[in-house]
Amino acid sequence: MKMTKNALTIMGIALILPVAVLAFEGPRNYQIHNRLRLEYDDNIYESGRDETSSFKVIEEIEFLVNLNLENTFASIRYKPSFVWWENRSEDSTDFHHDVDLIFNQRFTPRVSLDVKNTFRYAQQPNVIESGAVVRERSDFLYNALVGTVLYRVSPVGRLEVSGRYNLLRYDESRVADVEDYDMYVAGLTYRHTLVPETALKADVRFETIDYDQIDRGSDAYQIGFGVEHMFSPNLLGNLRAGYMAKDYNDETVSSDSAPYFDGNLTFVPSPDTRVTLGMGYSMLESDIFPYANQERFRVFGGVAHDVTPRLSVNLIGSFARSNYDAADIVPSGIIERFEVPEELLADFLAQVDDGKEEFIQLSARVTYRVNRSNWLEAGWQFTDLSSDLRENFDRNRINIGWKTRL
Amino acid sequence: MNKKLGIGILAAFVACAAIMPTHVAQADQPDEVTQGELARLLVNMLGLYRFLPAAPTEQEAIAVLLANRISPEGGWQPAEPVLLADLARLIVQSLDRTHEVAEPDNPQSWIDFLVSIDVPIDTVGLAVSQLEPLPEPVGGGHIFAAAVSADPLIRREVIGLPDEVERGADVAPPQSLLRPVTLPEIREVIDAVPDVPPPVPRPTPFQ
Repeated sequence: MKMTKNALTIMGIALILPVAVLAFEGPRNYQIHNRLRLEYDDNIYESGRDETSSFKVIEEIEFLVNLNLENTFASIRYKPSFVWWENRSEDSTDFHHDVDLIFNQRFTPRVSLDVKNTFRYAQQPNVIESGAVVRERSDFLYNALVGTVLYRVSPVGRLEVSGRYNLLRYDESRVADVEDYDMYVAGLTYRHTLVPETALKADVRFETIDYDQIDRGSDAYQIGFGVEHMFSPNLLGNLRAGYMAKDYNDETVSSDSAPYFDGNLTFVPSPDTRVTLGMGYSMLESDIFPYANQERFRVFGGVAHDVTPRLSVNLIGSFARSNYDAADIVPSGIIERFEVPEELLADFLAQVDDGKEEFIQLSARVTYRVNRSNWLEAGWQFTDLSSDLRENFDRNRINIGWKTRL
Repeated sequence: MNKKLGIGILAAFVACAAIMPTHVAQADQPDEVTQGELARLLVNMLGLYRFLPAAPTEQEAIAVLLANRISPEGGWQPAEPVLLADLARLIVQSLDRTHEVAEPDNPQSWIDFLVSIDVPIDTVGLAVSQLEPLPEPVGGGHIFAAAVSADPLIRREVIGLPDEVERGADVAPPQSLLRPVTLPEIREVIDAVPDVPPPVPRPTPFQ
């Protein structure tokens, strides 16, 4: 309840602030868009058995306000979404909120501050069957605040000191006990431009993550290097790699260390076509209780093409593979959560194997611009989860929509 | 100890934000605006910043502009100064009115078009101030780039709702992968644990 009140307070601010800025800055700094979609979803509970399909009506309104002064830029974007489900008996409506805040301040030509905040509040009802919770998806609040002080030490060198605070909160206490977390990150980056087309980076990161009740938290350190390169004016790439070490809060779980890397390419082969490719590998926090760690490899690719000046096509695909090591299970979590007697813990753990998951996402979208204020769109999204640790599923969503600028 | 170190670094961040502006000497403003600097300005004005990490580099800004069909003729060269013809072309593209330019191959035609719609381009600042956020921004690959990043400052900064498509597939698998293991799955594991053998009955003395 408290979380809901907080969320609503932030939403209120999100609504009032744009109006205040509008009154101050005039009409050119804001935009309001409305987007209405009709969607068919063939597996609304992401279930591998007894799939339930439903039509949906999704209504989104987006407020975007920019404030641009000589040395200051601020932007707020607020997007409430309303979803009506034709065939979801326990709750036929959802109401979600997105708020994005950006604040950039240039103190001197050499020193600037960039702050970003990403806020999400989403309603996800539980599914109850015969009085038992079979799928625990609950309302949640997510917030990520990131700030960077940028200091240009020379015409070719810049130093970045960054901090991040991240939180995830679920409404339902049973879910919150194992999923709620706070994450703090501190980082230092030095970027040096070798030639106009190439820059090298060196960075250090410290990350600590704490869970509310059953502690799957850890402290992690990264040290790495990166390179950004423009192969040609229409081909850009960057690569970051290094080594990472992780110490868990639960002392019975041994520390882990592993290399990491990520990189991506942006390519414009013709004025009408854009291509993006990327991949990454690293350890990161686990989404599956009671594991405290996962190693994830992910690759993605996207193509956007303008068939005509009014008609555009977007294709995107991604594949992720996560490995979970049984050695990273937090034993105290099992005892508390599952009330497993201590004398049976060893037997219980022996039954829990390493596991892997593979997640595929494909998307196709066609947009037709009717005029400067109206767009028609049609899209298809496919998701597929193959898991050793939980229920497999696949899901198709097909939608048509209309977006208008108000 | 580790947490103290982390908190120390965060405190240093705050201190830097507070102290640096008063201790760094003012440098002269450069006379020319480079393409890279213009790219950063455009990213802000066009509402594309939210797809990028905080304090994006010029190259990151250029990459997201390319994804939104915004590029000087011949592509971006971040160290080169912005020429009037480049500026006119970029402003027209940012206004999403490229198809209205009479002769796209003629640089003067882009300038003439802006004059015809009363958009001044006397200076970069004046021209950029005419821009509005793009109505259909493309985050696409850049959202995925954040999703795959190993950098904890960027990782999962964008989290997708079930119905948020952001011009493509959902950002990350947050809903499905954030849920705990289901009760039937837990039961399966518990059922697999071998039962504790029942106590062996003591042999009763032979009567």
